[in-house]
Amino acid sequence: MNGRCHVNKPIKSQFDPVVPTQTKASLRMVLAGASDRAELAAGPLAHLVTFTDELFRSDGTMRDVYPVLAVVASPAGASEIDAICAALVKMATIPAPPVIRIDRDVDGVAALIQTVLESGLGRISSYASTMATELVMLRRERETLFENFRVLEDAFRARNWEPASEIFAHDAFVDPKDEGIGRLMREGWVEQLFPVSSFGVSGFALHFRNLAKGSGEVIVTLDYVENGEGVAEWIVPFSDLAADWNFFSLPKACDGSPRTLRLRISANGAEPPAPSLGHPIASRRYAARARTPHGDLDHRPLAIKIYSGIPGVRPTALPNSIAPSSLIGGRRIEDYRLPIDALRAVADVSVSPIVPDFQTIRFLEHEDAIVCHPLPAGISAGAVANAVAPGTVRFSARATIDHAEGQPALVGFLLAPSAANLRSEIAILEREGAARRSAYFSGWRDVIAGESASINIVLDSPTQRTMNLVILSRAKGDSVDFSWLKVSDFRLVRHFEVEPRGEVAHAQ
Amino acid sequence: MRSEAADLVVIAMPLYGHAALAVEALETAFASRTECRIEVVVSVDGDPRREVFDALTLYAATRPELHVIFGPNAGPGGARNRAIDFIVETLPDAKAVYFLDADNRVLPTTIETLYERLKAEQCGWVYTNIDTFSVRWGAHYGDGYSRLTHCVADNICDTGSMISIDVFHAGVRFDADRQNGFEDWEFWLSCIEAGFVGVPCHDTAFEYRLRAESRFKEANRDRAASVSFLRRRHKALFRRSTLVDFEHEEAPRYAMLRTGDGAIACFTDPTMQPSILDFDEAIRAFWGSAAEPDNFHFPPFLAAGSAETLKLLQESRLWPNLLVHLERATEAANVVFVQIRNVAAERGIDIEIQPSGHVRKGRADLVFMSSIIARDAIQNNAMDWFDSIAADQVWPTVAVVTLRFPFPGAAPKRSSATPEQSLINLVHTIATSPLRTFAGKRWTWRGSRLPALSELYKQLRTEIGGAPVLPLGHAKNGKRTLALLVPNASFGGAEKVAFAAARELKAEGFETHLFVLGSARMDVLDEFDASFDYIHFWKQGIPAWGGTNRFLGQDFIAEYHDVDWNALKGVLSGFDLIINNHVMAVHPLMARLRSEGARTACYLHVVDETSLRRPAGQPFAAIAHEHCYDAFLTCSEQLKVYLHSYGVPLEKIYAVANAPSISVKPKMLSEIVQNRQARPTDAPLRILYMGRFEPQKGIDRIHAALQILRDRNIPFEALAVGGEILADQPSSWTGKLRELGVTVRPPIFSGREIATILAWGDILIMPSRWEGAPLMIAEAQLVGCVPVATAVGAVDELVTDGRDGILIEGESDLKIVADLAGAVELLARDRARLGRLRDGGLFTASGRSWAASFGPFVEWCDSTVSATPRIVARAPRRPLDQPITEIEVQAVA
Repeated sequence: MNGRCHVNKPIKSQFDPVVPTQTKASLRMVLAGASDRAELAAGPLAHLVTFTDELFRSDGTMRDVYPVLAVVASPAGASEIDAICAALVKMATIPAPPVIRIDRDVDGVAALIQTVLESGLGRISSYASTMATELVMLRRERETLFENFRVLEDAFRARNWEPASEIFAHDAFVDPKDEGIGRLMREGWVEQLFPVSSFGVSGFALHFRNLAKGSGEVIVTLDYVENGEGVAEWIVPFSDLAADWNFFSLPKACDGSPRTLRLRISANGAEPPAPSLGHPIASRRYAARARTPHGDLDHRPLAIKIYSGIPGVRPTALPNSIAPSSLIGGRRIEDYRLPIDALRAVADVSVSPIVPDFQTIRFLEHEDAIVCHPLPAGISAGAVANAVAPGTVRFSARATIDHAEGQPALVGFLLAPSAANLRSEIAILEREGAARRSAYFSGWRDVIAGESASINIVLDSPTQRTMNLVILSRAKGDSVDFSWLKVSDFRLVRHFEVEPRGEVAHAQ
Repeated sequence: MRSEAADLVVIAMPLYGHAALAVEALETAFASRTECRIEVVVSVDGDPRREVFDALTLYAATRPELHVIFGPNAGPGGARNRAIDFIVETLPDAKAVYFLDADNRVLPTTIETLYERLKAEQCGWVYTNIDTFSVRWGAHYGDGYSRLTHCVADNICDTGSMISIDVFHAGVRFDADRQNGFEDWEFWLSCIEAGFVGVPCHDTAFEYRLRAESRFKEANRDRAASVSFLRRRHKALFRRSTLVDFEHEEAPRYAMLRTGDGAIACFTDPTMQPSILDFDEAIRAFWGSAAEPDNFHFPPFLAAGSAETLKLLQESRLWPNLLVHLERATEAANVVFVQIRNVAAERGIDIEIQPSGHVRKGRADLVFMSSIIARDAIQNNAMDWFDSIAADQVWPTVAVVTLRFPFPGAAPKRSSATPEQSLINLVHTIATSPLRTFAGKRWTWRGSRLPALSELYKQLRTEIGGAPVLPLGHAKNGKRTLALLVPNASFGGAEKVAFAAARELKAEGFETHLFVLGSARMDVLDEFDASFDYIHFWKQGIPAWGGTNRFLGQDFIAEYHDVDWNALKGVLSGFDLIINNHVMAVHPLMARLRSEGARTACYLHVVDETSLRRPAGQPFAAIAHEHCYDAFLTCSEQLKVYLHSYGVPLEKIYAVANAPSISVKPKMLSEIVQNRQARPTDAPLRILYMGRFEPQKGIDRIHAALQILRDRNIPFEALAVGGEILADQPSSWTGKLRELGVTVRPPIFSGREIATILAWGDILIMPSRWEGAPLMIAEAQLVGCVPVATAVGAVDELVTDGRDGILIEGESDLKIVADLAGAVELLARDRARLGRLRDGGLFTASGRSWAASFGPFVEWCDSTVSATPRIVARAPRRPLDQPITEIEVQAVA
């Protein structure tokens, strides 16, 4: 969901009753003479009124006072109001407030004023606030539209419809000693800042040294550094990558203010293909970085080419083109791992008629993995409580059977609300083969000894609240002998809404 | 809902003229995604648009975190100050303030990112690059913060920065003066002055609205006036010592490769701790500075030498001066070889420029060159040419600098690796680095708006108005600094008196610098050798005398005279006190030095006479520049009155009675007196003359008087110590004196020798035609030698006739010769009178001291001269190359 796509959507506050905020009680919008203090201090306007002798501070300023109107309850008060109105003129900003005489029916008129200020004006101001929010969104969009219109117009007039122009290139520098980049991607990520402004960028190319063995996916995300707003995401099966330059096309050329683009590559699967590094450079900021430091990345950026031009058009010299899997404009992406302490606290929530004589669920301290040994009947389950943060859209992990003679098993994952009864959830899953609507189930995957399996859950929409992660296993055949199922490399991705939705959000 | 315990960050927004945009700014401020609590303070600066009132009233009605201050128009500085005062008074738990202009916008992550960085860095403020919208413009303000750049180049921080509340608690505010078009730049300078430093943050930005015309553009049209305002407002920041301190820390001028261990010490001030680079870091800095000179610094000058050489130079007191000469020498030659000589009796610097193909005589102790030479040699594939610096025949042009000074031991121990070869190795290592391949490509995509860090020394030169700039920061321990300027440093009385002044001020806590201007050497005087912490020479382009204009018919040097003003300004800027002792060429500079904060004094000793007896000399050029001096020093009351007669206020003049330039220990003095008392009364009178053999000193009168004494058969022994000034003399006085039986000895300079000679003489004769207040009289009286002198100049302030010496009045040579002979004859015959005069002289001398003589002047210095305040950074500064830090995302909500 991109906030920009919803400018025509009714803003909630336009239709919902306005709930007066605390300012209705404290915003001082009424001015009164000091001589009228006795009359007004105990009345309904007491908390709204500022008296003339307390209006100005010693430096001649007014703080948090908004004299929308003045009330007069006595001739002395009237002359004080006259004097203060003359002083207000010097401020230039503040119009002379209309003066209402309330000397005959102090409480009655005052109550009326209070009602108008706290109810009517409050509602109007709240509405004005939502209008302001909308105005800001519209202005921002207008700026972008104008800028883009001009670029298009210039291109049209010049007829320079260059499908894709290379605006930056840093070639691969093959160093046989480079190793372990794939592992860095699997265990975390490798990050590269673009050395060109985002404006007009329509694609980029990464060089991969060799093809990957086994199955898995490379996940590439692109976002803006300055505000964390995402641009796009590519989830690419290993098999789709060429051992050469691979062009990643953007859905549309980057517009708006020029910003710094940040590329982040991670992977799942046993042996991800490694992107090539380029020649060393002096700048540390523009060298590739990883979650964990790695000597090969020292002052070396990724081999990269950056293009502007018509989005979606592959540069002719590049053999392979990859379209984005999802557009994440207006959102921030965070790639996170489960903390060791959370894994260490894994709880056994298995549902099985068999009571095993060994520990089926446990944490492997030195491998940061969880063992979930299946039983001949029922489901073995290990729960990591409150592990999945709100906004999570993807979850992945790697499963292996860690014994040469281990029998095949099935593995799966369940994301369940933190308040849910997990055994009950698992019982339903076993009974009905599907999870409740409030939970997410990955489905069952085969795992055989000696081969690791990647498990991915891609959610239709981001999780709304914190959830429990449950690792599940069950027997595939009759035997579960030595079926030491081990799950590791937990990787989660969550999305945050950012500009301009934040502006909408606060208004609501 | 953010917790009350969360840190409070206040967004302060001055508002004038942006009624239609302010709400947009507020919207973005309140849309910030942050763990902090946010409050917004809008300071309405008398904006006449009532739309402002309506909009803010409506906005405030729904935003409890919005505070609005209405005030009369006070300018952007005044409006911001109101917001600051409000925050300090009413939001005491605020941790930081972000200034958001009413026409700008923040991104949702701006506040959070900047505040996190502020906390992590513990700095004064965090600033971003600038990206504008509406009219596109972008600026990259460097990977590291440099106070030097911020002071001398441009404002590199927008007010859209996250500022620690400590800054405001320290009392820093905006300048509300509307004359100041750069109130934001001025604010940052105040922060620097208060010891705060900034840190850049490239991980976020704010949106700067740029229109075709703006207040900033308006201010830039009058940039010169605004910049001048900043300089006046922050004088201490723009002093040489402050700027060199910054340079030393942020963009050191020199990289010194130590031949022994290969470490590269980077420094500007050689007396301060250098930063050390290894080869790897040096290579990265070298190539980084090629494409991103605003982000990487490689020192502009490269040198190599052994640790022993460096130690010797540190101890020589000449090291800062040598660096200045080396910088200048690189303008005339590709490479500079420094050779150090151990000479017991003098200090000096000689420079010889040699063409390409020079055949060397001996190895260098130190090699120095501009880094540009190394860069050019690499880029032009001229490494063979460069490598010849280690060969006997050198193909780059060469400057050979010979440095002479006394030091214990024969010569510095030579390192096994020569400086030349070490330098070649470094340059080869740089040239063959893989970084060279892509060194031309800039990776930072925002355009560079800053000067190259390696060129900052040039900006510093421009700022100081001189070149090279003396590479010395603040004096140690907060000492005040004195520059004593002399035209030569030999054995003349005028120099000795000036040295005595330096000795007294050093004892008072000054760091003392002797500048010999117009000469490249000095004699070592044992009595005053320890009076100076540093010694500087500059010979080229400084005439001893010049007449580009006239004052009362007297010559003086005007600013359009052919003088090396650059060098003079470069080395003399930044001292707290400057005493000009007869350096005529410096007068025109004094007004500028004084306006920069130095206190200035002029020391005068004598009104000379031309051969036609026209009064002439240094006092007249000094009087012509009276306005530039805070004080005058004279050697006599007479000269003080003389200056007053030319319009110099009396309170400005300190008459410093001369005292002996030698010291005699009590035991030695007692022996001398005992010897004198023990001499038989019939022993021949011992007559002594010490001085130049020239008419001014009355050498012809001495000869005539001695002739008369011989003719009268008065028994005497005579000794003349001094030298001829051959150019002035038609014939040799030495020969004539010897014909009269006078023993003639060449000049002597050591205090002990002078005392011994004076102890020999019963009387000192001094029939000068003109004098100031000769030291020799005071020195003679010190050891009981009776002065017999003409009453010229201020001699009568030193001698009371008949009490501690004899004065001879009159102007006629015949009369003076007759009176001198008569006076000597009288003393030869009346030894009791001689004894009374001797005792009178000893008594007079016992009451003299330099400390007493300089007392009132030193008192004036204490009350008037203050040390340039040292800017000490309040927070630890982090290295530019930060390890990657990540904010860990907790999976558990």
